[in-house]
Amino acid sequence: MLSFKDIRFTYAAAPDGVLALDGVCLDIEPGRHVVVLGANGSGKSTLARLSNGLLLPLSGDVSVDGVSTAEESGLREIRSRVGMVFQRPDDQIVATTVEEDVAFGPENLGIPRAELRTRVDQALAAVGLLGLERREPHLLSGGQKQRLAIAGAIAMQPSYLVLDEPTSMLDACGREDVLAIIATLRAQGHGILHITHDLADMAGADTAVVLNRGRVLYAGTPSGLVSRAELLETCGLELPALSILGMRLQELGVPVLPTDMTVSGILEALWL
Amino acid sequence: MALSADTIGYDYASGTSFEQRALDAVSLSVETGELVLVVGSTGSGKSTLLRLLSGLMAAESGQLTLDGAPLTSRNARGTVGLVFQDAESQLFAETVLEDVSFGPRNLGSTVETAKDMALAALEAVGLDAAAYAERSPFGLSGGEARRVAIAGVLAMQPRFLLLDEPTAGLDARGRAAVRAAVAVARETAGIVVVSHTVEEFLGIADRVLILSSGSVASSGTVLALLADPTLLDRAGLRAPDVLRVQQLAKTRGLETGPLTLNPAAAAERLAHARGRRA
Repeated sequence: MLSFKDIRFTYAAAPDGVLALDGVCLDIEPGRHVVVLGANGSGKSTLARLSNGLLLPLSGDVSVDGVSTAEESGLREIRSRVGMVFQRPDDQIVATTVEEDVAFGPENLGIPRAELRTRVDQALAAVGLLGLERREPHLLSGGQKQRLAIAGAIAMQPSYLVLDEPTSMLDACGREDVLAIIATLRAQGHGILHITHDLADMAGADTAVVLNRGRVLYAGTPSGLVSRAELLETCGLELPALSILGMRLQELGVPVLPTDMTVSGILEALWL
Repeated sequence: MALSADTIGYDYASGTSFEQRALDAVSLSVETGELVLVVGSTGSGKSTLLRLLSGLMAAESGQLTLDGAPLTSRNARGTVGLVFQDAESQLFAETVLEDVSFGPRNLGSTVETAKDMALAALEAVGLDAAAYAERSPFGLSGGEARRVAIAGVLAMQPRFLLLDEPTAGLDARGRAAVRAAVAVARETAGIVVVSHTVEEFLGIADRVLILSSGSVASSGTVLALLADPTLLDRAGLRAPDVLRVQQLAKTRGLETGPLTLNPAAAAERLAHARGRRA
């Protein structure tokens, strides 16, 4: 389990010691997809950086399968168990070909050549980039680059993946691809901590957590969050247009369920 | 008074074996007060088109004109403003005011005039000039920094404003603030916005140009696009979900009338049509 216990955190430069995180508790179990939602400045990226010891909490404890990030001796193990993917794919690409980029992490761990090949192929297959091994990363589309970044993280065979706004720079198709990969990784048993400001990203998640000014204001099902208009407004989060359409239909007597806020779900409800 | 491209073409690595057609016979014209939305998937030529319209690069075929005269980097200067993608990564000065004044100072304005232009530009993007002027551009939120970068271009009072993915990566409030800033800028300038998310600017656009592999897949009014959203699908783009629901309902026999981008209005039309059918 990736576990955050009563976390408080402040940045040295913050005016008057404002807390970036204030009493945050959160558990991510293997095979679970937890979405953390919040506007800019809510503390969600700080949470990502705490998850593998890039930052250490002011008080409280972050642990990965029982090992605290505060124990320096455990950091190497923690970092191999927690993979990270950030918002801008361009900032995460290090090599001149796709396969070298994916191999970079495991190669650094000293993985033997044959296993390296297997890991790279498996990681590229998982994100649908097989066949592009020799391609130069800068020739890929934005969505492909982000999938490459995910492949680089998977090749390390982590138990947990922390994704910080992995879709916010992508177009609709790129976003769908990344969400589908997240769903597959979850099904394979990875614990997913998925940070986003877009409510449309939470559809497939097990749990939604809303952060506002460093505090947790909601932790529950994604579908339960859709009807909390006031809370969303307070937190600077915006319902997807499709959810607004679905909820208005519901008010007008069309039997749309809160879990049905998809194009196909709404269409089905219209014919019920 | 227009910025126009007439059947322009552009190749990257022209004359080498790596030659790649980026734009082919693309035409577009924008006048003061107009907003033209350019959409297309990655590699469709959107950013190349903006660079050509800004006078940064010359077209290899066709004609670019500014108020009827050939567009050059010289006459574009100060008249055509370009806001790059990730514009905030180019903020550099110690204070917001210094950063935003840089453009007008460079164009020869006095310190005092440049300051007035900068303060007006900050107000135009919805930032309280008095509160932000002396702040460091590096302590701002993503949405604030993006708007400061846009203000830096607006401060030069361009008559044409070109924006490359101005809302990418921002949260809901940041995106709404940038959209509002663009709407204000449109009162005094002609605007071309490039975006990979169709819905972001569709509501305030006059016309939409859809690019696909460097060519114009479609060019027309927003109303024409709403009448046939499959134009987007054919260019490898996804129509907004709200339109897709209405369109699919229509093909299955629910007569809802013209499509709308407004989700609440769409719900009412759908519920009404469903009631009539029952």
